[in-house]
Amino acid sequence: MNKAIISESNNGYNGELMDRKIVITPSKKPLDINWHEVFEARDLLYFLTWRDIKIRYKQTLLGVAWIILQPLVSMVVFTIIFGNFAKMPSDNIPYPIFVFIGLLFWNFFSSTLTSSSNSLVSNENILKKVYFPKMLAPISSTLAHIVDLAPTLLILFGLLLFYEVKITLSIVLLTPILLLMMFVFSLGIGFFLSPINAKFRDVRYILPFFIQLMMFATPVIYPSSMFGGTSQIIRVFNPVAEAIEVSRSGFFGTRPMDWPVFFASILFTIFVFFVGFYYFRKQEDTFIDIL
Amino acid sequence: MSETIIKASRVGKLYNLEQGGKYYNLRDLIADSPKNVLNKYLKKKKSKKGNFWALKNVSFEVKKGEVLGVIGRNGAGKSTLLKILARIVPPTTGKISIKGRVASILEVGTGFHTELTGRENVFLSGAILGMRKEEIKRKFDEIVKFSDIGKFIDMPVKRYSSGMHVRLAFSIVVHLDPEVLIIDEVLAVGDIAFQRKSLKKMHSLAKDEGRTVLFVSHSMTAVDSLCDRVILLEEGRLVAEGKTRKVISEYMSDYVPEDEMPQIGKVKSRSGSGKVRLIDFWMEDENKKRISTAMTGGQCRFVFKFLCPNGKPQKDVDFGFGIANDVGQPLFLHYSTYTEQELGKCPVKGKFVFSFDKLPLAKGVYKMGMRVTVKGEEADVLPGAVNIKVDNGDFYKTGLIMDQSHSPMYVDGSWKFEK
Repeated sequence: MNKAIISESNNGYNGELMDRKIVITPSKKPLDINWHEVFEARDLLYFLTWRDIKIRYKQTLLGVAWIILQPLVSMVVFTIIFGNFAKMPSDNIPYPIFVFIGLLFWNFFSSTLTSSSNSLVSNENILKKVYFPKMLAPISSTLAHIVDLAPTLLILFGLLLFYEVKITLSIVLLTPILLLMMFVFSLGIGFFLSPINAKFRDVRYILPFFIQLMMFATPVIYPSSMFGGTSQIIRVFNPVAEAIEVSRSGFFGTRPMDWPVFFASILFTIFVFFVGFYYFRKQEDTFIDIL
Repeated sequence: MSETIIKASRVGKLYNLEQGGKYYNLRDLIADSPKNVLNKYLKKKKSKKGNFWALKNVSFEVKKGEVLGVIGRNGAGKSTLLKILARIVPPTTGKISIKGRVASILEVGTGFHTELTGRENVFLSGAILGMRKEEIKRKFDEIVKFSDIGKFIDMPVKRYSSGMHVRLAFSIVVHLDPEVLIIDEVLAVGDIAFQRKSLKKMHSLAKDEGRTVLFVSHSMTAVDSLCDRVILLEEGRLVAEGKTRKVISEYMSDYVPEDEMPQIGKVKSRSGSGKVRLIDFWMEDENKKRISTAMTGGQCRFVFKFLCPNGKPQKDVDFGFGIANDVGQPLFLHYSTYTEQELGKCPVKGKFVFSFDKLPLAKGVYKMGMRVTVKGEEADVLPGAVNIKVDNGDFYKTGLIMDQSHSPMYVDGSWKFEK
């Protein structure tokens, strides 16, 4: 039985085995990526992501319900504090849905950033014991947060129905692009920060502080119109601000779409991603020794 | 004839102790950066004081189906070599090429997450060790069966006993089927039954299924029974390479600290007329290399060096020794008269040598006493003079290491079933 299975699987692999040869040499060029190897590791990427999702809510009483509760509770709290007490302007959008859209993008960005920056440290035990393309660590921990999006988007849909907002085709098409933008942006920063975090654990303490500061610089609880004249510059260099702005004005038609700013922001996102990725690849060979 | 699977040429690994050795804070970087910038500006070379070659110019080849052992003392560079081969860290110099799928097992249970169930961990750990999802699915039942986990497979691993944990982890490992296996001392975990089981499985992986295996261990007995060839590392350099037995005995003989050698000269409680005096004792393997530890079932020689202090050859000399366990219970003794080998004429100096075809002692430390008589009169008596160390070995020549601690002795014999 055992023998049969082994020989069968050998046959299956023989073709690719013959020409498979691993060459181990001192450090490689950062952009010299073995894509075949990355593709081969897709099952591993799947399991790493699946593990991160599984363990997140293990041994919690409410389990997956937390995915829904977290944005709902913060929406209620923010609405009470900023909508009711502080009377924050919201471009005439009902404050609960106004802040919910802001939180949707912000939470997705901040949670993916936190886990991707921490991914090398949290996968330390595997990285030190077995070889796999190291870029899978930040990618898998970022992917794990996409699952959280589904219930959040469902709540958004409910809120839109409740406030009788007309859902246009353009916003339905734009939302995935905006989310992808957040994903690429935070993954890019994560690529950059995770090797630094492996080297200097200080990052772990600076990051929450930095995220909090950045939230104040992002129109989550206030409208981007509050920036005044600098709004466009801020939106280009803070893709999260741009995503929130595009989403809000897309749903409520508060302002016409500012395509040049949008594309500039996308370009900036891609730039950040490649800088982060390049840095990660450059550091890849050294951080295991430090971890 | 058989193709080369692993080829390593001039592999070296340099570590910088100044940066890697301690936690390097952002504060340190900021504090050091003016100095670094200045050094760069002045083109000063980085101090070489903190550099340390964990491996230097290591070259070797492994052929298809061969089991290569890597031995050496702690800090000799074994783990570094393994990590480079497993591609966990890159080498600083040199080049290695490996043909085929490689699985490196540097610990049992790589990637296990205690919150997940056994079933989930099989998939996770399997994927981490390089199996495809389909492959794990196909082998899942077999893995569970081998591990004897049974109905506990759907329980979180954190509720497992350590034995269950190790069994499950190990059964994943043995169901990998790469062409090249790189194994660290993972076999040294679990209880004796498990160690035997895993060693046996490793044996069949290598010998019956023709895998190419690189095996690192401190256990000479495990290396001895598994490996065809051994390389010996010392301070990052490859110092010996060759047949397992030869390299092991070299290692064992060269690395015996002086104080671990049995010292006969220091024995005070000796009596006898003194016509013949024992002046030194050591153990040798079959190649006459000195060893500090003998192996169960191994060939070994006890060498007793003597001299006659008065410079006159003695007549009718009988020599014997006795072995007792650590609490002094005698186990056996042997005199040259037993085998009618009494020395009719004994030269002024020389060596009495006793050869064991198969040392019948189990792992442990034993006391040895010696006695020389000349014409029936005691010449030199040293009761419990030296300690002898014995390590597990393959007594029954089954290819497996025996490890029984219930009895100090092994006997030869065979079983037959009769109605």
